[in-house]
Amino acid sequence: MRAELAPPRSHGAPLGERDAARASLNDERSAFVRAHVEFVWRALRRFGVPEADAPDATQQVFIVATAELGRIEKGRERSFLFGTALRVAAKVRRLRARKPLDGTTDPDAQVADLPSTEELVDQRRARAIVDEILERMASDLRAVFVLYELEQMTMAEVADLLSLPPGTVASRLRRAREFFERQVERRTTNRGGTP
Amino acid sequence: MNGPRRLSERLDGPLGPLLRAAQTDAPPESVIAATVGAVSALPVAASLQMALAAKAKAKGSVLLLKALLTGFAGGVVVVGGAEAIHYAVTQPEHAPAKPVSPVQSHAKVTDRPAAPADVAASEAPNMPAQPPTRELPLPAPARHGAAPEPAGRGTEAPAHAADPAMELEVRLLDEARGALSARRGRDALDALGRYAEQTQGRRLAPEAAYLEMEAYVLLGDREAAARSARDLLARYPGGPHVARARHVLSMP
Repeated sequence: MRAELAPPRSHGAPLGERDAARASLNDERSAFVRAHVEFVWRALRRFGVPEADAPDATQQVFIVATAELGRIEKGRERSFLFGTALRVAAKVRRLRARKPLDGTTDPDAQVADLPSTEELVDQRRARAIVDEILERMASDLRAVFVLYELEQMTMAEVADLLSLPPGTVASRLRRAREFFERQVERRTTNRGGTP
Repeated sequence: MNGPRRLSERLDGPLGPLLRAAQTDAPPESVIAATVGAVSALPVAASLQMALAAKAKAKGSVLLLKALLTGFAGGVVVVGGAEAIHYAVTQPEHAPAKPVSPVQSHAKVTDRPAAPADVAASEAPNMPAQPPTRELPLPAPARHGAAPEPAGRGTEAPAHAADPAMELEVRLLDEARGALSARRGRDALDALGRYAEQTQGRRLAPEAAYLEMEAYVLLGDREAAARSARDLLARYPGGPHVARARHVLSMP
């Protein structure tokens, strides 16, 4: 007599009502993750989550988002994920008792020298430099900078994602770019001007 | 509003290479797969879940059937809700069934509970080096994330009886489970610490991870409980404890 409950799934086994619904849901969730995981990962990393903590933090973001998936407005997924990533990043940093994200780090403090152009081929090292500079940037500027310069969103998309007026986005982006360029220039100066 | 030319487009100086390196930062496939696994294990939508649960309850034997299907020594009952799992752990009459077809895993138990390891760290720094997981003289264990074994295996003779290593694992986890049932969270963590130190292979590591999480919940250590829950979800996304782990993570 066939069991009322569908048997455990195994390769080739027929799907019961629950398993079919579950399979469809899992496909949807899998697609959701794969569509946005790189974006979430970069957001976490650029907001101070160490590489060792990034896998766990990435899961946290998607666990929260998946639970809310039915309530996230269509087209607002990235906005939700970005906001969640920032909160998770802040939590990770608190747990690690690192410096806050409010830009209180002294931008004029001693900085590491910039590697040569050849050395910048080392992607990992380059990202570490970027993260070090971003660490010194105020979080409101950092958000705009990350979304525009790194995620290559348009100004309109950034304004929409952050729910900010376009003028505010433009102003913060200008200040963020100036800050970033200044920090890079300082590091280049420390090397005696050689790139 | 197009905005200014992006700094990453610059060809002169270090700005371009720096930012282009950050643009190409991406997680390894293992992280993506683990994340997919974690969200796939989340409970279905509440309405669908309630409908399915109502249908299953009418049959009368769903709890017993699910206990046999889990395949873990704890006899944990997965009824789509955290409360049922918690009940199974804390009630003495739900004594653990004999372990059958443990999930094969090369993951190590986290650090000794008294000094829990960071969830991002896969190695327990204070633990001695462990040999690789040994193959078992048991029915083929379920692959990581695969479905649990079908009903019926639980009625076989205790598979660990001829396996002293498994017997030790079972005994230590029974001790931890008993401590939890008696509301002695610290004693449970002590037992789990001995499990981490004294056992090799740790075929019941998923169960140990689950009990560690429950011990922290019992002790009111929310951060440690959350760490254990995330670690459990990362290591065993297809296991029967994911619903409870999700619930722990959602607790205020």
